[in-house]
Amino acid sequence: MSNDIMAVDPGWAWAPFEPSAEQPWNRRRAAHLCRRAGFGATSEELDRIVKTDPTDFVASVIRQATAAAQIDPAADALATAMLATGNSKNLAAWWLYRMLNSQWPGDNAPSHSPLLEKLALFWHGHFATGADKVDDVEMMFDQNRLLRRHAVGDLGTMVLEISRNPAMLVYLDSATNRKAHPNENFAREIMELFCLGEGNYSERDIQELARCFTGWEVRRNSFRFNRFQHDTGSKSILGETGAFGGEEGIAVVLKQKALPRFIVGKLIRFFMFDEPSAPEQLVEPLAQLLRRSDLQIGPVIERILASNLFHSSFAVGRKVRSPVELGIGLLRCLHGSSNLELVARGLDEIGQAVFYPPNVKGWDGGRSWINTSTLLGRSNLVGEILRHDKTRFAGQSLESLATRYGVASPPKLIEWLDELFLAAPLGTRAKQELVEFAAQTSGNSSRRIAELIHTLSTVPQFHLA
Amino acid sequence: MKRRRQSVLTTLFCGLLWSTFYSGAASAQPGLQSEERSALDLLPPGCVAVVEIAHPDQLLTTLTEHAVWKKILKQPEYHAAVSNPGYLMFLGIRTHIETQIGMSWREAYDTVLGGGVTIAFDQETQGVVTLIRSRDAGKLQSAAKKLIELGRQDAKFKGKDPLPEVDYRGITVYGKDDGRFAIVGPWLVMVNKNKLGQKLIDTLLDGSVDSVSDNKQFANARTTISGEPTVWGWFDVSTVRDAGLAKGLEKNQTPNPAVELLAGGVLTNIRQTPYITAALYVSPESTRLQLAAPHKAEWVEEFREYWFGPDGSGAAEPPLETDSTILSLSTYRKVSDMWLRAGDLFDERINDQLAKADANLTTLFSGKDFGEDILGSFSPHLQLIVNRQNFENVFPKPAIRLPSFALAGRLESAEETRTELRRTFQSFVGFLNVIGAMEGNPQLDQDIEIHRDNKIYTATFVLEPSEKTSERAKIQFNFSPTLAFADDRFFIASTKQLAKDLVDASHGEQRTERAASNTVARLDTEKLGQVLDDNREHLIAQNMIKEGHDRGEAERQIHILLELLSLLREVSFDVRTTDGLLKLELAIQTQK
Repeated sequence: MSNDIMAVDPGWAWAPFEPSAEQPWNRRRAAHLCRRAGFGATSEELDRIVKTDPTDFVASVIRQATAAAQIDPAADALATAMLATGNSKNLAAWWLYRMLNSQWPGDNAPSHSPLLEKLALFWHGHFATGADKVDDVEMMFDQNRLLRRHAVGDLGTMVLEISRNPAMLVYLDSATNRKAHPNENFAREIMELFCLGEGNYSERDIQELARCFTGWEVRRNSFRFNRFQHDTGSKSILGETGAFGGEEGIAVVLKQKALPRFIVGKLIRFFMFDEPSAPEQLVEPLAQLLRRSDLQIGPVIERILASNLFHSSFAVGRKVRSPVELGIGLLRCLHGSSNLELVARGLDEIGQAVFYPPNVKGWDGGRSWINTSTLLGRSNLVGEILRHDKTRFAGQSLESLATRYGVASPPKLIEWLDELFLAAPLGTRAKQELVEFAAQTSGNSSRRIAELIHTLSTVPQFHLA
Repeated sequence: MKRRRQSVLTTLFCGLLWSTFYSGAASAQPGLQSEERSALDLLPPGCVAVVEIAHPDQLLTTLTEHAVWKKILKQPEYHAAVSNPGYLMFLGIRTHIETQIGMSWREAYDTVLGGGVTIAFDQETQGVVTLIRSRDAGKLQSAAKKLIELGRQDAKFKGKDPLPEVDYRGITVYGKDDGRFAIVGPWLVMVNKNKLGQKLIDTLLDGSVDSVSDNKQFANARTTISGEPTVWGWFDVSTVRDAGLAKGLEKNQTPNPAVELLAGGVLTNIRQTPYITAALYVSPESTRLQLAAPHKAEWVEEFREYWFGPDGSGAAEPPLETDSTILSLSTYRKVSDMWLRAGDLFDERINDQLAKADANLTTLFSGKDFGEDILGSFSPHLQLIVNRQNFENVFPKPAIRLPSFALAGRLESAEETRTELRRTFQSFVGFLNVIGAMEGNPQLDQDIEIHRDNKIYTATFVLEPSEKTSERAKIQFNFSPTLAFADDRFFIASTKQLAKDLVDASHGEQRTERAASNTVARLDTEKLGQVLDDNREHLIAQNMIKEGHDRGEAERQIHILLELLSLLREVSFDVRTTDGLLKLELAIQTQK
């Protein structure tokens, strides 16, 4: 197999991963899958997952996410209580709670789906909307419900609904759109950021699409069509002409060949590797799959997660952990629970406050997660979470957790953590240095384990997903 | 430092056990002069703090037979706690010791501590002494030998003698450095300073010429005791103050207006009073803590007269309460004087903030001086009332159900000030509407109602059609700001219902009947529990987010919180000046 992604055979790349003696389906591979499709897995979950066929497991993850998408979080008592406070920061803690308490398919009764939470986070970054500007927790929550509803479903419906979503319209200054002055802002983002990407439309297309959206307004926090402000004239968008309304305008955009390529490119970047951009020959088969399946997202995700490429060196350890993946992943893998307001604040400090993306482009991701200030901040956050008096591991101390898994001695503990957290294994020398560090650390056993994990978080591999 | 403290504790604990079983042997000591004297007759005259528990055995009986303790025993969490291995190991050790000494731990406790426990601080030696009088030394003698054997056997394994011995005038003194004890007749003497220990043994053997009982202040303080307190304490504040050990008391100022309003007068008194006594009364029905300190009207600085009233005669009115009242607080405070005297009471930072607030409030009140004209029109009798809101037949029901609250008072010149207050209230609501409109919040609809022939000025949030039947409405729907008048009374309430209830409560009230208290407060814990229960779902959610619990754990914790609260009936607080004393009482009434 070539080391050049540009030379990878698409047929091999998207074929289902078949475990072999050289590439066994083991805990480390399962951990890689769980980090990418969710926020990691506990040691027990990994033991359970490796007993199933990888393709079957991915299929069950997709089924779980599809079923979970039909459950309206408005019925969630925790969400209701957080909404009652009227504060979007509390809503962020609610979402982190869902991420942390999601479970992989298995014997237990289904709870929150890790993949659904991960996809909701992807779409939140894609259709970026910030609570600081929207300033209404109910609207932000409604948008989150929308993203969940369609996260593994129909892309077309999601784009149409997001276009009429009050939070989105407020965020893009499109709460009023009069025929005398069509607001091009929203039309531009539909083409550039949401559906087609740069180079696949003209300025004229934007102006014409903006005319389609005239009369689309937000009143009393709800979408309203003001027929008196709608431009009923003929429009020409992307080669099609007609007296289009907003829905028809979006339908024209959704028909573009660039749409599936653009979306698949982003999905590959989100799930597989930050750099380089996926080459066209790898994007095209999945773009065709997306189009063939009438823009259903689930089959594309399933193909990605079950593929040879996903389990190859082109994907493993080729992503920088986002702050949410870092913080929630830390707790998730260690059966942890903590004060999630503290975690949400910590994530904000290192660059990812959910419900507060930096701008309409969302988070840049990749290498941008790490700079001189966030690198220290990421490690500090790990230490702060581990040492916080509300942090518990399976309801107990780190010492109890290590005893439970029979990894109380430093060498065993380091091996265990290495497999659980790291995409690229530590070298022998690094492991030996950690063992020596553990021997020098003072304090009780839990404290020493916390210090060891904190030190592990300063190793570059810890920051790769 | 920590190790040293552990050493003291270990020594004290060993001493306690040792005395339990060995005090009988000491009764044979020569020249003993201790049998008939109380602990207070033994303490040096230089003691500046004394705490006395007259009947520790009765205290333990009260606690272990208390309804609260019995309810705790029934909780599953208690059963879980006593089933853990650490506790079971402790029980095993306890049973072993009980078997060896031939009596239960409770019998041993009653025998050793039954004569009382007294703890004191001696200023001369800077030492702390604990005097424990055992009730029946002879009964313990045989058991003592067993316990000593156990102690010595344990020490063999550890290689150290936990109780090194020295002899002082024929008395064996155990321990070392900063923690020693000795048995003298029925007394167990524990000290942290050698010199203090020697003083006490001398007194026990030779008889005392002078003791803390001869201290005039102390003797005066003893006369103020009412009933038989479970725990009683005396603190010589003047000596501590004169020694410059209480720097904080030298300041006139309090950190913020809320502390000043609540405790400014107490601070004034502590700066002058010679001593403070504390008495704790524990009974099956209640627990009361009474603090008392001598008080003279001439001690009150001019700038704190607002707190005590002229010649210290300021008395709060009886609290206004309704059937739904959770908390009532009634005080005597001439807030206008406090506002105008702020320069003497607070630091520069607070004064700057108050000056800004004064300017803004003066503008709000159409140029009338806020301190002089507006607050000056209030009589010193102010009350805060907090009620549980009943949302049973009310829509919309807020998702978070807050209690309503009101400030109640009287107007010095009612006719003139009513108009000013009404106009300001309506302007303020208008101002809120402008801000609310800018932020897309619901608007307040102003109205005037007549209730018992009194005008009440209301403001209620305008409902969206979708909100009219909502059971999870926004937090704003807890409020309907209202201003009401009844004769010379005014009520500024967070809800219309509370304003009406308070008008009803004040109707036909006898004004002349006033409590003798300067401040009186009552918290109805049953109603507080109901408010928490109204918001149970929200409390559970907060617990899940902040404590990281799953739903089941969070539900259990909130259940325990509410169960513990249900064990109480009410908490009350009272401050008064009477019989030359400033008295504070905190009382907790429990369920029987």
